[in-house]
Amino acid sequence: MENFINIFVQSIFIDNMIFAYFLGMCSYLAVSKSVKTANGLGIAVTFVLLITVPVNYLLNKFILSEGALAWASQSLGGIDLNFLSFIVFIAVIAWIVQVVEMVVEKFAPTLYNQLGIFLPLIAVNCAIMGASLFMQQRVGDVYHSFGDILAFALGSGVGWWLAIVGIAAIREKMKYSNVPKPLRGLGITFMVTGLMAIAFMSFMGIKLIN
Amino acid sequence: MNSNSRLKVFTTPFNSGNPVTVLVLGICSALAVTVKLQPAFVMAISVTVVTAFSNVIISFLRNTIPNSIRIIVQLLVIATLVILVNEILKAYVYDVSKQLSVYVGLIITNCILMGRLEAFALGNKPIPAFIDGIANGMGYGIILIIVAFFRELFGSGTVFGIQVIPESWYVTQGGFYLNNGLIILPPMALIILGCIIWIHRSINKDLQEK
Amino acid sequence: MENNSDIKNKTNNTKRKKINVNGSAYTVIYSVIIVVIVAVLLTIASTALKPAQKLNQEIEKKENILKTAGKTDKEKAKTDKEKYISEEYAKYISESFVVDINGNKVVDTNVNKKDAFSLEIKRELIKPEAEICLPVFICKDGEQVRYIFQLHGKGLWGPIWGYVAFEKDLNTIAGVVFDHESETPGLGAEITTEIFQKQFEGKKIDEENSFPIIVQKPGGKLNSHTVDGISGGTITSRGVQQMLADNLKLYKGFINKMKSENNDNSIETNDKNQEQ
Repeated sequence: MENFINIFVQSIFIDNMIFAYFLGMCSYLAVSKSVKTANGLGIAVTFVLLITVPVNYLLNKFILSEGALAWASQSLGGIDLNFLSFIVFIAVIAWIVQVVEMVVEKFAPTLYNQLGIFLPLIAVNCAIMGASLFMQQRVGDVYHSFGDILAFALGSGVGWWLAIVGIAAIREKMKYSNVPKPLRGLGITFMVTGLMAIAFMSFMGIKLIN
Repeated sequence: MNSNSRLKVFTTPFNSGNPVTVLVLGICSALAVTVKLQPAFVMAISVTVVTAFSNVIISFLRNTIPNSIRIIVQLLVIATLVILVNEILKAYVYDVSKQLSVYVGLIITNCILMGRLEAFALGNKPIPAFIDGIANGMGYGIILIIVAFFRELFGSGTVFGIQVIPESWYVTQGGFYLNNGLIILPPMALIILGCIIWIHRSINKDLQEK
Repeated sequence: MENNSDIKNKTNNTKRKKINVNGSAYTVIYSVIIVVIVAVLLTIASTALKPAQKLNQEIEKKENILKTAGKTDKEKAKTDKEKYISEEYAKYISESFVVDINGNKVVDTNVNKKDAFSLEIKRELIKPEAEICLPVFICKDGEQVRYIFQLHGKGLWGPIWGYVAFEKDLNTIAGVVFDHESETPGLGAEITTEIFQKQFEGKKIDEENSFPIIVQKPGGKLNSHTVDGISGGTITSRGVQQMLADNLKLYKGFINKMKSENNDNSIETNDKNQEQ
């Protein structure tokens, strides 16, 4: 249990998708003009991450990695399908985003109206793909169980959510500030993100248990 | 399309249509590989190649792709090209591929690719699409290389791995100079990019946001 | 531009008359064809490039092993690295085998085929202790004998790994090589630099302490068991310390066994000398 909390906290504050890896920057910059929409996208990203990362973990474990096919038959044990992982991951992500969109539309129309336009955007959100790739890279070293993976996925999503809501709140206030003209909009957003990232760096080294 | 408009297709991404500083595309994977010039350079080339060829392929197929699976087909083409690039890097420039690690895979979700496919390749012939791909890849690459140049120069005192700042200047050798550790950290990439946007928009006033 | 899109529309219209591009049968056939093409293409590329990739990895591993034992020359490695490294490896690394936790050699069986070079230590470390297999490389250069062990541990962001070479006494470190996957460049990533790794040469294992080598905050006093860590890379430095402790604990069986063998040998030779 402590281990899960540790991974969860670490993925939110230290390995933050935006501030440490710059992943999902495109939608982060495009959809952070108001807190309300930012919040919607944050929820959507967290939700999709929570599904895609575990699914990709299972695919990686039982199909893609070297010798993974041994469970099916001994003769398949030597096959290494690792080169297909990019394509499988992105296909899973695109497919799940589509399914999530349909399910949400059917069962939670109000949520769908809030998220509607963002859901298709998520398929090409680097944070989603990035999380799957990091998962593949770290599995066996840092993450050992399915629970670890869930904690990582949830933490990454919440971290991203926190970042986008934070910047949206700052940008709402910044509308009233006297920013130099060439910096307005994109330029100042980058700089503020940079400063936020420096602030987040102070979390580095936090560890709940050894 | 005459040669004049082709020239325009080629030059726009370097100024008023720069994918990074104006269209806000492809920032995700861009900033993490800019600590040193060499990986930034390889990343720039990889993205240029993938953008150009995916543009050409989609442009060839543009009248045959069923609308309902358009996005998936585009992702499939991109992912295939990225896997090829990744395998080639691993086989011929192993050291660099180690440095780029998961960021090669993230080219797939680089918004520049999808953005150009949707905005240009689907409506244009292969040759202009190729030019557009090359130009956008290079427009992206130039920003990457500028950021990497400053970060490597001030962060490590080197350019392309060659020592530029004289060894005798360093405090350890009895001099007065220290490498700036902060500039190597992720947040500074964002701030440098903010500065580039500032300069770019001071020169090209049409781009300033209200 | 306008002309162009007009033409596009026309071609679209003429095509639509022949086949319905948005029909479901067409869509299914289309996706099947695309997937088949992609799969074939990728399999060909992957199979064709596999040998070159494998070779790169092998050369890197061999280079690291040689570097740990202090047997590579940077200048010579620059031209035709591949050939140089393979030759040097064949020349110096006289023996390599796999040992278990008690220091006994693991003999190859058909079911469980293992050799020291292709053993993945990452996969061994998560096994229960009794099943762990550890690779040992022995480097011989004339009278000089060095034992090289493999290491694997955790840094700040991801895995770190490396090799450590011991002198014949199995107590003095002859050299180390560290590498990492994703430590912060300029901070934690400095563990790969020569300046950091050079410090370990000649240091001795502290058998009393739970950490055989202490990587301490830079600036403090050093003794034969301590080295300077990296300023700003505290967690990675601690990771190196922990990695050495964890891995050397597993090699302890082998180290003790070799030590007692060496002692026996030296006693024997002493006896012989006395007889003469």
